[in-house]
Amino acid sequence: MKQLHKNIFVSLFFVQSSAVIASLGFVHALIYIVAIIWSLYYAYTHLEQQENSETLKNTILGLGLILFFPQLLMESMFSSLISLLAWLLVAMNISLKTRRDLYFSILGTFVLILYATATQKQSSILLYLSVYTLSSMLLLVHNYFNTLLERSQIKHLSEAKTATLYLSVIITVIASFIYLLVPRPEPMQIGFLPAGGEKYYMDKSWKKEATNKKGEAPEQNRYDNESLQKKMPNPATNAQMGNTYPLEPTISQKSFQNRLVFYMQGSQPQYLRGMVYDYFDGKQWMQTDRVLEKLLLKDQEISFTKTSKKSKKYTITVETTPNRAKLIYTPTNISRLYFPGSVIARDKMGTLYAPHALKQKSFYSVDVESLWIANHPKLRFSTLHNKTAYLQLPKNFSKKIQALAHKIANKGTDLEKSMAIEKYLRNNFNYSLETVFAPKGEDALENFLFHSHYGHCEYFASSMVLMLRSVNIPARLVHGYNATTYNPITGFYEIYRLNAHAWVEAYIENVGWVSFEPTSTYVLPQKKDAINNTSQELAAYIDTLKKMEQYQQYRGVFKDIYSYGLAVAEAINNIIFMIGESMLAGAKLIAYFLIHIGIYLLFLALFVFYLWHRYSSFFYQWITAREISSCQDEQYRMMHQSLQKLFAHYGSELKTGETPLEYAKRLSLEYPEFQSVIQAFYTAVDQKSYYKHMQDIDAEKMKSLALKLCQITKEPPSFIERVKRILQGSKF
Amino acid sequence: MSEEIIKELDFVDQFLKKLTLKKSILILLVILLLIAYNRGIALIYALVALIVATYIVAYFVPIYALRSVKVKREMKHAVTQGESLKVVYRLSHTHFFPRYMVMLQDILPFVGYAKNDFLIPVLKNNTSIEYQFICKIRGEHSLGPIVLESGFPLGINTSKMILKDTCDTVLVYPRYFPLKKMPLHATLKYLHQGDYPVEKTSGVDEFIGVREYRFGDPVKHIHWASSAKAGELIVKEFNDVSESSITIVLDLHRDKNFGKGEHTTLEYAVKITASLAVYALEHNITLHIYAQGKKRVALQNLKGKEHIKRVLEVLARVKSDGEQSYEHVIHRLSHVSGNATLVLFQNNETLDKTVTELEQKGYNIILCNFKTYSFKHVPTPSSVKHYRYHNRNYYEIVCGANIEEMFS
Repeated sequence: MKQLHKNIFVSLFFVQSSAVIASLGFVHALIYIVAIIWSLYYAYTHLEQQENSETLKNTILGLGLILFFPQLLMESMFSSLISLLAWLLVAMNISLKTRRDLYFSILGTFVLILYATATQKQSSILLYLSVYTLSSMLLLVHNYFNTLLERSQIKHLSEAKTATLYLSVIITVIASFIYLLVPRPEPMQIGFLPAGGEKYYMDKSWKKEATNKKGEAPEQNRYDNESLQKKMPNPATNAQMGNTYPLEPTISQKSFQNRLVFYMQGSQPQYLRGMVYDYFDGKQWMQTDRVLEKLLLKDQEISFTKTSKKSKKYTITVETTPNRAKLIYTPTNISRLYFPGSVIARDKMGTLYAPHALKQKSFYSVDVESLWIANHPKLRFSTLHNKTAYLQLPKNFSKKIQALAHKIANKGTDLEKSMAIEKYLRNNFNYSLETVFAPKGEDALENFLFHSHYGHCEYFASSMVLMLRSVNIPARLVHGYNATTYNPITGFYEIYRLNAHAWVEAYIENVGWVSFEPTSTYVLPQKKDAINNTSQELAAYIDTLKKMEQYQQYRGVFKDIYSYGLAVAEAINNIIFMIGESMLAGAKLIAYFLIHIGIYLLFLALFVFYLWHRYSSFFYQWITAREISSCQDEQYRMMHQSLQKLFAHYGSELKTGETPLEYAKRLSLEYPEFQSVIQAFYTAVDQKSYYKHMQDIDAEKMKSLALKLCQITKEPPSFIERVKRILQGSKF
Repeated sequence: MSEEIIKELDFVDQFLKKLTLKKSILILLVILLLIAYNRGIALIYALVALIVATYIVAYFVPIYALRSVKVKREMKHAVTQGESLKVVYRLSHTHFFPRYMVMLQDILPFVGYAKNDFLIPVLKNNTSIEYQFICKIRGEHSLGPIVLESGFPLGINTSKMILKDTCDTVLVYPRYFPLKKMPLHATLKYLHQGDYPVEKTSGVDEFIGVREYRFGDPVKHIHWASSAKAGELIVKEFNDVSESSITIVLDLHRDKNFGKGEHTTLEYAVKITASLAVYALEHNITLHIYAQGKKRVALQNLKGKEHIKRVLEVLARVKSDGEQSYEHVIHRLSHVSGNATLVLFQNNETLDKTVTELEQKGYNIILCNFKTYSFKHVPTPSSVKHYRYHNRNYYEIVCGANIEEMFS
């Protein structure tokens, strides 16, 4: 029986372990790793035994099924099935004896890896993927080596392990080039899984309320009417409801952990819109009123407007419940929402709410259509019913700020004025997170605008809103997250706590609500002009991570590892990018060269080929004669071989299995004028080969015969015939 | 599961057998690419990149691996059947990087099976392989060409290089066994070389000289004149012509060779012929060998040791490729003196009529009769049965019989 060798079992252990860790996570995978070690050891020790291991196999499968059902109650169907597959692999290991079993096992691990790549959003999966690839490679090489060894006459050969290591490195490098440098197309999203997670969001009272209003079309500005806007905000109520947004948050830098809040999957970076504030009392922002309209979802789906073909899908996965836990953060201008629940709510500013706090791993999707004006995102629903509410300024508002606003926005349309203020703030002030952790106290905005010239985003956004209002342009402050940190390794936008952001929406006459970004270093989501390659995206990602490095949750030695890891990743990426760019430049140069000079080269090549075709026989004759002349007395075989090459050039190759005498006979027919010389020479070769005792064949005579044979000339095949032969793979 | 269902599912098994690693990886690649394109999942693109990279490496490394590799085969070009032949393969290449998992394939027909594979795990600049082969099949064998194969690292793509320069030939002489006594001794003629004469019934004796009388010599052979001169009894010595000449006729008809490999009727016949020939030439007995294959074999009047090699070479090359019937070949031997010992091989047809005619002419017949049906089966060790029928020596040989016992 063809047996599997020990090294195959060792490699298979690494293949299975890396696949299980990648798909189930390190902690969950521990029990499986123990089971894999045991099952593979059992299979290896029982390899030569014919005993029936069905009972043991069935027991393991039974255990897997017993664990599957409770897991199904606690976790999603997919993760439960993956656990079951891991148990199946362990059971298969028990009876691992043939190569077919091995291939099935590899296929099983591949499914695990596929699941991991589709679900895992952390870069650490790349490590498991590398281990999986390396060990799979080793496994297949071991397998191939053993296959060859079974064929070989000489057994007990040791394998060249270092070669596999070199090849793995080469494969990794090539894969990195392909992955990092080849641009990727936009996804098709057929059979897209829009919403899910491990929690379904519903509220009976909300549902009842929504059902009563059924039939009314959900319109963006239903609540944006006069009666509601007349109400003044109540700070106490707002604070109680968590609706306040202080200009200077009190956060301790020591306790602050820059955790991941969301993952977003989509084609372009977005600003995830959260709460929108219209009232500023000098210290904090509030909503004048918050009335929630309840909206019923049909099959976890709700449309706000007709979805156009231009709209793009975005999926947002909750990693850590945000501060405003019920908010459904979405990009601007959503036309459709897919949410794992039966009912949601919406306030007058268009912010969406879930019935309960969003749980980890919940995900929802939106269809987004981007609208632009002067490179600024524009809101689809852009009616303004209560202008005065958005022109509100705090009591004792600084005259200096108002004067500054008038100075900057002294001419042009509202849009030009808004852009002028935005430009002024972006160009003259520096972004800093220092003010988040060290508040400046009263008159913070005045201090920011006239003294310190640096601060965090709320300073920029609040300043712009107030300056816009000073020049009579309705404006409001938007709080949300900027989803611009794209991790090209996982393909997800990563949204950290530090990505919490504030920006501005201003109402421009005849245009509507337009988003502005006054904070320097931040850039509003732009239209993607060119497809960046992964290397460029990775460079941007590493740059962002470095900026956030000091606020990472890692401490002590882990922080150092994190820093070094970033530095190494940056260096590798830069090298690959540099080489890739050089290769691209080289390819362009070669293409240019070929286009401009290639035609001449082609003619030259044809001319050289023609010369070769015409005169190569002379060359071969000369070479053969030279070889024969240099032969020693007893090197009759070498003479034979040299002549063989010459005759092969004429198309009379020595056929497989042809003896010298048979060859001579054939040559005699082809070259009848040399028949006697051919017969004499090859008979001598034959006799010299077998009858060494025969001394009557003179070496000099053989040489002279061979040299006579060199004089054979034959018209080479026609030019076309030769080209045909070359195309057919023949040497001549 | 019933057998019918298993039969119905047989196509799955057939499909899996056809599914090579190369095809599987390509299918997997396409599926993954579609998934990645549909969902835009970056890590699946990473998997695709890894598989593409693996495929590229597995495809191109074997092509590179065989470049500039040279092989030389060193061996003796003539060897006797059953002996071991040392073959040395010297491999070399000039490139810096070693080659891995190179498979050397050589066609050595004398071994008994067509291909002989040697795995070279690491091929550095110069590597040698030595291997001893047992030459099982006699004949003039064409060796090679040597084929180098490399599928390193995964066997997805296998490149082959046929080294045409490595074609060679080897001559395997037939194996012969020592005879303890010549079968001619078994004839009923008087022989005068031993102390105990036996009855002579036919044949012509040739006077070769005189010698001292030994007990048992017939009185009529006493040379009285010489005895008188010598003062002691001197007898005339005769040499039987049938003893000093042996004619062997081989059957090379293409349809009359039964069996496989080294257990064919022709192989047995050649072995017997070689043994008889060596014995005859070593004992100065005149030897004739006739056969009619594609080429005619006619070795006539050979006498003396110096002809042994020539006879073995001829016997090494005989093949069952003729079209003339055996009887026809035998009938053409009319020129051979009628009192010779004739060794014939009977395959399927009965040669009784021919043999009787030859006996009537005075031939001393040794008939080796192959039981051809036994050559269709696995060889079973047995003894050669020897009969004496009239004046004829009759040997019955089955496949696997120990023919070395024949004349012992």
